[in-house]
Amino acid sequence: MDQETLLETFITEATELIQELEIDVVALEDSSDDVELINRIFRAAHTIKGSGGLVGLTAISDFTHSMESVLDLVRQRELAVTGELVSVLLRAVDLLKAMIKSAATGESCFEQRELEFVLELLGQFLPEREERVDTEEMLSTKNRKETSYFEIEMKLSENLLETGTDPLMLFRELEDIGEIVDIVVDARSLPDVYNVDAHKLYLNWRLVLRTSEPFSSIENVFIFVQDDSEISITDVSCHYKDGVDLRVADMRLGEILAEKGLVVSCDIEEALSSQTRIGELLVQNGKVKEEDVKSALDKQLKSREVQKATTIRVDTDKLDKLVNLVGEMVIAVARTVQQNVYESHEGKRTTQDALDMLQRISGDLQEQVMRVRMIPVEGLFSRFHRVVRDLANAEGKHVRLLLSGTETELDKNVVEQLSDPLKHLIRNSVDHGVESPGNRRKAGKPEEAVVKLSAYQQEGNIIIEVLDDGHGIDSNAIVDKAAEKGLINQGDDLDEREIYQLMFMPGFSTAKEVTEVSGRGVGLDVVKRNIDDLKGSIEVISEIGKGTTFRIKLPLTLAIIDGMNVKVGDEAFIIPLMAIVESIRPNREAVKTVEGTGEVIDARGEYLPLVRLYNVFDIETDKTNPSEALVVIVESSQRRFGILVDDVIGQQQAVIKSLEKNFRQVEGTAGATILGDGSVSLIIDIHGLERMAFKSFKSIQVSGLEGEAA
Amino acid sequence: MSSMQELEQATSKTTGDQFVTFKLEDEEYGIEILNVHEIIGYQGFAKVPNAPRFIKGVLNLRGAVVPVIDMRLKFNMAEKAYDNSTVIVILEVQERIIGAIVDAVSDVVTLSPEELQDTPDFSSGVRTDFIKGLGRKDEKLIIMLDIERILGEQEFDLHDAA
Repeated sequence: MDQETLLETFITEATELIQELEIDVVALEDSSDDVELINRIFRAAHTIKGSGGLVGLTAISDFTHSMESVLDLVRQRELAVTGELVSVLLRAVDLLKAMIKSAATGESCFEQRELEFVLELLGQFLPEREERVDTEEMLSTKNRKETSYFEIEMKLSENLLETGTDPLMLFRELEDIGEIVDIVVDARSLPDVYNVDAHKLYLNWRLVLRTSEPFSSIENVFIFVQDDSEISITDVSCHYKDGVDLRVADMRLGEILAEKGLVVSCDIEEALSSQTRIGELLVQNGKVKEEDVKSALDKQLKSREVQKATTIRVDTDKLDKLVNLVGEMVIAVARTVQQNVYESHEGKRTTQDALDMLQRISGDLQEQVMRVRMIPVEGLFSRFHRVVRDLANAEGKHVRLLLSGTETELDKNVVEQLSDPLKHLIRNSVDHGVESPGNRRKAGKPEEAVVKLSAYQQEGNIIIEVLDDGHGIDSNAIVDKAAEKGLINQGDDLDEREIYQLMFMPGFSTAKEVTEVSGRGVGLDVVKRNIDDLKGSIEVISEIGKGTTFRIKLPLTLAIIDGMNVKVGDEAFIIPLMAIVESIRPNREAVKTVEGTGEVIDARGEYLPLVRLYNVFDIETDKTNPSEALVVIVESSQRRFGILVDDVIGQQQAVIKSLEKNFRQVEGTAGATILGDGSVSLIIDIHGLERMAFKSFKSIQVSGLEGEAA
Repeated sequence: MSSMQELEQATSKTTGDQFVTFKLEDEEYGIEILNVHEIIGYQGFAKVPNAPRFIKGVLNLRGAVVPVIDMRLKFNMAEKAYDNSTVIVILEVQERIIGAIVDAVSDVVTLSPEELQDTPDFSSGVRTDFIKGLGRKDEKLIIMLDIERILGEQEFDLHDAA
């Protein structure tokens, strides 16, 4: 592994560790006597320190060292967990994030002043003795409680004995500061007995020392011999887990023995050429003792076991390709099945049975492959403890964040893209949703407000809710505000749903005072856009005095959608099933015009705007009479409307292909897919189509006219 | 000695660039061979809503969705019904794959620098911005296309897309 990959690995790992660290530190406030939790925090800090030092990021390892010192006191129960301590630790975590970002980007993402300040804050928790430790010394000072592994290679001078130094002394000194867990003597330069000069030293050693002493104490051991001997000391803690050398797992037995200096490589080659088990052979030939082989084998086995529990990191790009290919395969299989049914009305039952089986298996395979990309929302959700804590503290509110359904799994991409909108909604809830403790008391509610974040599956979709038990949203206030902003007219008759949707319009904000965190009038519209991008929808349910719920509905995955295949002229399009309410064949009287041009359709007693797809997409078709065609009623987050199509072909799963890759984005579409017969079909983006069809709608409405469908 | 001659021949072959030539009406056009990914027979495609007339749609090239343009329409020539000789030249330009419908593919030619000349000025309104130059091979005129220009047009520009 070269330095760069090493650094990359460090950054990935450290970023994950810090995320966990942050969650754990926030949790520490409430469960200050959870020993396992404290240990986990300590271990995370320690790991970052160790591996930071390994890749040469001394600033990071120094800084985590001082964090670790404080955490150690907590672990030793010498320091009580207070809100103040948690705040300082969180500040340190933030700084650490910035430092790692600096390392990743090569730009400076933090200020030296902040570093000094945080170090000072941390220093306050340390007893006098430690406080004097300045950053310079920190580099070499290891905390007394933590254990490291050092590999020491001693190439001692031949004339060492003449200076009165006995290697045995060195070993005794090393034993004083730690435990020698592994030692190998290299006797290759030992001449045969007749040529031995008794005053000369022919032996070299390589050993691994487990110690809680700092690097400098080991150096001190060799202070008298280092001038004319070669001593190299390396921190190999990262290779050791529970005292087992992890590197050994990937090594061959021969290599291990050779490394231990028990055999030389030619012995191994000789043994290999004899084609017998290498261990037995070496013993037979008297090259090594049986115990040595056994111990090496044990070591290998043990190391392999420790490694087994770890997972594999896979580039998401590879997964995307896999998901795509499997999707193609499922479609191809479906096509074959169809073809077979078509070609052989009778007979060929066996082929059909086999094909059915193939279809079932490929369906299962697809599901499993998709699942590989899925991760639980737990990681995402737990991050918000910090957000709630900081914001509630800043506003003098008591807020408890409850999480439910954290095991619910979502596509990794979706989870990542949900982070910002969810953060915004949660801030919104804490900032605008819940009342101050005083007001809550007056309203007869407990002082501590509850914000609940939950996830669950419903009918092939994922629902994520942000719920608060605050004062609810006053729909009259929204209407007033929207009218004031010119988004609607004072007299407009809107139902509750439509009123709440107004909050997602750009430039809308009901916050009476602008606070630092939310309420700048940018926000909910951005949230909505983010959710639209994920092909999801968002709605609000609120009750005055009781609270508000934001409900986000998302597809299970971004790569494949369930759609309805519809026909317009010679073209086929896919309408996402999630947006479809129903399909109707209108009778002659069902379609009415407004002011001669705007068309509405009577759908179960409600007049909905009608969009003629062939008009919007400029396609030739003979089926211009709605009573000969079909209307697909769809629901966007803004409104319901009907789409006039020639015919509905059927339901179908579509693997979404990017149009942008070779072409460009096409307005009104969310990409393309390949149908069973190999032809291409565009997938309709309901929000995009809506924008195209209702383009003139908004401007007309603002200028005070009745809305009309284009 | 003979191997030496072979070597010389081989190297002389590569002096000068290779072009794939295709026909539109009676005219012959050339595209640098490095831009040509493959040539496929005419096949159907899905229409792209509200696209310019010369963009015929998108087709499925082994799972990739590829836009198809009609070169006749691109050059404002008369539209012609597709027939058996109609082919789609699949081009690869700046990591994008695009299909170009042409009347027929004629040849692969190697043109030395002496056989190429700059685009002359035309008296009437001929669009010369897609033309890299003119080539002469066996007394035939080959119009060299600047494919990056054609495909880099606004219609293909992601940032300009609405």
